[in-house]
Amino acid sequence: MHELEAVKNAVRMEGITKHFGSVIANRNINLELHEGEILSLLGENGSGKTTLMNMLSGIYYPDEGQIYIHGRPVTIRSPKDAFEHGIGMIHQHFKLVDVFTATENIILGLEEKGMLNVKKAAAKIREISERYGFDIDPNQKIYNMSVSQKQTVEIIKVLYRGADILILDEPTAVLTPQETEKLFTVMRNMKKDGKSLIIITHKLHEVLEVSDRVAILRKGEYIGDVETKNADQQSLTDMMVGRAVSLNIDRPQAEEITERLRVEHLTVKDVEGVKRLTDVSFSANAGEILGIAGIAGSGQRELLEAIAGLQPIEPESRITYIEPKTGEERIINGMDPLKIIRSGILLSFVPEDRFGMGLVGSMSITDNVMLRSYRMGRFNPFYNHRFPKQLANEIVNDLEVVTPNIDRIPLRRLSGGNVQKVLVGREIKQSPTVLMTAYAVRGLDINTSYTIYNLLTEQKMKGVAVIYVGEDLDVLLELCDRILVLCGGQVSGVVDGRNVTKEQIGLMMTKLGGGE
Amino acid sequence: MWKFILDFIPRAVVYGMPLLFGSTGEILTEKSGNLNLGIPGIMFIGAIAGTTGAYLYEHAVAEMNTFLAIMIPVMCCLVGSFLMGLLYCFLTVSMRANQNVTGLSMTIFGTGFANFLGGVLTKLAKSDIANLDITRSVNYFGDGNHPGWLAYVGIGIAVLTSLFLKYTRTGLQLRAVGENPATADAAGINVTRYKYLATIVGSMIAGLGGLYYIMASSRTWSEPQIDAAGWLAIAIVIFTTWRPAISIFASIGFGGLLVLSTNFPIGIKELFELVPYVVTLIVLIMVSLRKKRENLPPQSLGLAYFREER
Amino acid sequence: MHIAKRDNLPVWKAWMIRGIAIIIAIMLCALITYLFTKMNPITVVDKMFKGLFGSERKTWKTVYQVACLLGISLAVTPAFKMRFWNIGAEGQVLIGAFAAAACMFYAGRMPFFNNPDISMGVKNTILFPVMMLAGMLAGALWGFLPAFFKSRWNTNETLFTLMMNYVALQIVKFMVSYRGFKYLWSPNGTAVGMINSDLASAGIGNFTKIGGKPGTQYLFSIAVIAVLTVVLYLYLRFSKHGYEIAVVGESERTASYAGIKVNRVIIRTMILSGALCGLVGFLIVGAEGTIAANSVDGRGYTAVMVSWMSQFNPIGMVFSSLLLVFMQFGAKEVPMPDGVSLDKNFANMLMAIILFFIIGCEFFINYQLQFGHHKKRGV
Repeated sequence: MHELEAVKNAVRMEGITKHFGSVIANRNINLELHEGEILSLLGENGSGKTTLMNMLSGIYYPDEGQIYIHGRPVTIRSPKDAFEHGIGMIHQHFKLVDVFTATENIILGLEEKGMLNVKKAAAKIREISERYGFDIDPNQKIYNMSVSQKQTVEIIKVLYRGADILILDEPTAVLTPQETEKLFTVMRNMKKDGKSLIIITHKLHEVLEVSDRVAILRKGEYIGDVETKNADQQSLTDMMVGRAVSLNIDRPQAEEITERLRVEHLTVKDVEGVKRLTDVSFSANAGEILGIAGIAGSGQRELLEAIAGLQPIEPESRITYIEPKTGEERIINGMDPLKIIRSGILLSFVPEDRFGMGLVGSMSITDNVMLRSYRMGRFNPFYNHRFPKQLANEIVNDLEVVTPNIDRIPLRRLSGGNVQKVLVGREIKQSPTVLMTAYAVRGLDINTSYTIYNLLTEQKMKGVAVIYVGEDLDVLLELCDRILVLCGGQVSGVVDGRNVTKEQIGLMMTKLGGGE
Repeated sequence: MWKFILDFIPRAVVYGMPLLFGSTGEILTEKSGNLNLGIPGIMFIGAIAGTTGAYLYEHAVAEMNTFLAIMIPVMCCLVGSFLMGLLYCFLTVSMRANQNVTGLSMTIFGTGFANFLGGVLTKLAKSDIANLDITRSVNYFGDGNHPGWLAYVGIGIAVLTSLFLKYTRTGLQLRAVGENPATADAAGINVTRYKYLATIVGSMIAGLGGLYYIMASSRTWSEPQIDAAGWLAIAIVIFTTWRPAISIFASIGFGGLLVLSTNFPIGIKELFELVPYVVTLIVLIMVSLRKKRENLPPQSLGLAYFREER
Repeated sequence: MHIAKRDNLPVWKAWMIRGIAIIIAIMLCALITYLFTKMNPITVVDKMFKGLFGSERKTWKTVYQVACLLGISLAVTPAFKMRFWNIGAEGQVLIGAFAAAACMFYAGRMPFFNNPDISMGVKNTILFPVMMLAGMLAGALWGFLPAFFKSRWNTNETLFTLMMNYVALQIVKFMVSYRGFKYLWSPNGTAVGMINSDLASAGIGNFTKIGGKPGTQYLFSIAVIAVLTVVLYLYLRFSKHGYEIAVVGESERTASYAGIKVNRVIIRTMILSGALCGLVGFLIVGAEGTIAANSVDGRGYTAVMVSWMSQFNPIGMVFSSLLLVFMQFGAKEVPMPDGVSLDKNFANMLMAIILFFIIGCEFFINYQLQFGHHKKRGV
C-alpha cells in the first residue's frame, strides 16, 4: 500500500503512544518522514517531541503503535537496533569521552575486526567532512573543542556508522548564529546526498529557513503538518500554542506597587564562555507577579540563579535590591547566598531542579524545612529542632501535604506534588520580600497547581515581589501582572499581563521583539 | 664502581618486579574505573597459592620436572588471584558495593589468609627452621641475585598492557569505560563485561607479583612484606599517571631505592623508604594542579556504574 | 531479571537484612574454624569469651581495644558522611600518637619533670593537655592537607590519604629507629620505640593504674571514647555543623543554594576528623606508654569498615567495633589441637569474611531484583 505512494517514506510512525506512569507523553501519534527531506518537529517544551524521537532511536520503547522504516515494519529496542536500521540521533547532551580525540570517539563501540587503525578511520572522517562541509580536525581532543565542534563529532559519529535517517534534538540551542548557519549548510548537503533528517526545534525562523515540512506536536498530541512554503511564523505559532484556554485564575490588583528589585545590564556566561544572558534589564515590583516567558533554555535558569547569588555574572551587570520600608538601595550582585542571608535580605527561591538544588531527597520534611532556618541563633552550635518541626507541621497542614510523617520518611518517597508543596511552603514561610519560582507547577496535577497559584497571589497581595518563570502561556496570561519575555538570553519585551494575547507572546518568544 | 652498578641493577630489578606486576595489574583495573585497593591482598593470595602449589609438588615427588615445577606454582597463583578478582568484581560491579570498602576488606582478607596458611604450612613442614622449605622450587625461578625469567614476563606484560591500552580497539573501549561508562554504554560497549575482564586479568597480573616476591625475591615464606609492596604498587600507578610502560622504570627505580635502603643502617633506611610515597604525593598534587587531562585519574574511578531506570 | 534502585526499605528491615548477613557470616566463620581446629564451635566461642573477658585485666584490655577501634571509627565518620573518601585514619592516628609521644620525650629532658619533689599528679596535669593538643594538631594537619587539595584542585582524596598513611608510617619508623634518635628516645638505648622509659616507669606521661589495679590504666581512654561517642552522636545529629555535613554529602548544589560554603565545610570537617584521630593516637600512647610503627596496626583501615557498616551511626559503631574486636582478638585465644593458637591472621581472615557479607547485603537494601519482564515505573 505504502509502496504505491508517490513519496517514499523513510520513517512512518503509526499510532504511537507512550506513558510515563500516569503521565501520557505521546498519545496516538502518526508521523511521516519522507525520503530526502528535512522535517521540522515543532512544539513547546513538554509537548513530547524528544520522547517521540527517543522511541525512534531506541532509547524508549513505545507502549502502543508501530514504526515502519522504508516501508518495512520494525522493532527498535535499543540504540543498536536503531543504528542497524540506519537511524542516528544527535542528542542535546553529547555522549563523548573528553580525553579522547574526535576519531577515537567516532569509532568507539564499532565492531570491526583487526587492529585499531586510527589513520584509516581519520581518513574516512576527513572524507565525510569534505563531502558535507564539516570543519573538523580528527586528531583534536574533545576537551579542547567548542560546543559546535563537539556537535560536529556527534553528527559525524552517526554518519560514520552509515545512518541515512538523522534526528537532531534542538541542535541550535547551543550554537551561535554563525555556527547555526554552518549547521544548516551541512544539513542541506546531507539532504542533497539523499539523507532524511528530522530537526527538533522551537525556533520558528530556523524552521522556516531549513526545513521542507513542519510537523507540530502539542501536549503530547499530533496537531498536523504543513509544507514549509505554505507556512509563516503566525500560522506556526497558532498551531504550536493553540487557542487560549480560560483557567479562571483569580488575579486581584494590589493596592501598593513599589519597586523591589532592579536588574540592569545583566550578562551571564556559562563555563564554556557562551553568553546565556545578554544585557537583561527589568524591575520586579512588590505587589506584582512578574511572569517570565520564553522557550526552554532561553536563560530563565541563569536569570534566577544570578539573582540568588549562585551564578557568576559579568562586571557590567548590576542587581539592586530596594528595602521595603526605608527605600534604601542595596547592590547585591557579587553576593553569595550566605551573604544575602546575612545581610537580612529575604530572598526566596523555588528552583527548577527540586532535588538537584532546593531539597535533599534522602532527608525528612523537617530536615528539609530546616535548610533555610537552621542558622537561627548565631552562637548556638546546635540547631533549634522544635522550630523546624513546628514549621513543617504548619506547611503540611496549610498546604495539605500528604505524608505519613514529617520527621522520618525521606522526601524522595513523597509524590511530586507533595514535594513541590514542601519546597514552596518552606520558601513562603520565611516571609520573603522577593519570591522567585521556576516551573513551580511542572509535573503537578490541576488541584495542586491551583494551590500554588493561590499561594503566589496571596504573597503578591502581602507585598512580596513575585517572579514566576513558567512554560504554560495560558497560566502566565491569567496569573501575572506583567510578563517579561526572554528570547535567546535577551529581553524580547515586557508586556502587561492583562491585555496581551497568547499569539503576541508566542511570537515574542520565538523572535526578538516579536515583530513589533 | 662498575661492579657496584652491575651488582646493583639486577637487585633493583628483583626488588622492583613485584611492584611492576602489581602496578600493571592495577593500571589495567583502574582503566576500567575500578579503584581496587585490594591489590596488596590479591598479591598475598597469589603468593600463598603459588607457594602452596610449589610446596606440595616439591614434597610429593623426589625428582622435580622443570615444566611442572614452574607451571604448578604459576597456575595456582593465577587461580588464586583470579578468584580474588572475581570476588571484587562481583561485589563492586554486580552488587555495586563501595569500591574502597570492598578493596580494603580484600586486603585484610588476603593478608590474613595468606599469612595464616603460610603459618599452617610452616607448621606442617615441621622443619627445624622457621621458614617454609621450598628450596628446590625456587631454583626454577632464578638464583636470587638475578631477576630470573619471571622478570622478563613482567616487563613483557607491562609492555603488552601499554600497547593494548594505546593501540587496540579493545583497549580504547576499555579506557572509554573507565572515563565515561554512560558514553561507552550508549556506544554499545558492554560495560559490565569490560569491568569484569579488566579487573580479573589485572588481579591475575598482580597475583604474579606476589609469586615473584616469594619465588624469585625472598625465596622462602617468612613473614613476607607483600602488603607494603602492594601499596607501593598503587603509589606507582599514580606516580606514572597510569602508564604501564613508564612503570617498568618507576618500579625498578623504586626497587633500587629499596636496595639502597638495605645498605644503610636502620634509621636512614626508613628515610629511603619514605621517598616513594612523598614523590608520589607530589606527583598526585602536580597532576591535579596542572589539570592536563591525559594525566588525571580515569574520570569514573571509584564510582559504580548503574544505568538508571528510564 | 531486572535490577531497580529502591529507597523505601523501612529501617528495621534494613537492619534485619544486615543482621541476617552477619549471622550467616558468623556461621561460615564457625565452619572454617571447625575445619581448622576440629573443635565444637560452642567450645570455641566459650574459649574466645574466656580469653577476652576471663579476668579483670583481660576485660579491661578488651574494652580498651573496642574503645580504640570505636574512637577511630567515630573520627572518620564526619568525613564519610560528607562523602569524602578519607582512608587516612591510619596515618592520622599514628602521626597524632607520634606527636603526643614526642611531647612526652621532650618532657623527659626538662628538669621540671625529673624533679622528684614535684608530684606525679601535677606533672601529668601539665603534660597531658600538651600531649593531647600536640596529637590533635598533628592529626588535624594530616586531615587538612588532602581536604585542602581536594577543595582547591579536586585532587583525588582516596589516593592522597592513602599515601599520607605511608608518609606517617615512614616518619614514625624513622623517628623511633634512627640510631641517633634511638638513644634520645630511650637513654639506656635498649628498648627501641619505648619513649623515655624512665619517665614512663614513673607513670608520667602515660595513664597510671588506679590503685595499682591491673588494667585500670585503660580507664581514661575508655572514658574519653565513651564521652566522644555521645558528643559525636550529638554533633552529627543535632548540631548545625552536622547538618551542613549531611547536606554537603547529599548534594553540593543544594548546599550552595542554602548558603553553605562547601569548601569550607570540607576543610573544617577533615580537620575535625584528623584531630579526633590524633586524639585517639594520644590515648594509645597514654595507655601503652610507647610509640612504635605498629602502634595503630591496621585499625585505621578497620575503622573505615566499622564506620561504613554501621551506616555512620555512632551507636551502631559501638556494636560493630565490639563484634570485630571480638573476632580479631578472640580468635587468638583459641588454641589449636597441636598447641598453637589461631593467630591474628586467622582472625583478620574471619573479620574480612564478615565484612564481605555485610558489603554484599547492602545490595539487597539498596536495590531490588525484579523477575519477569521490564516493569514500568510510576511517577
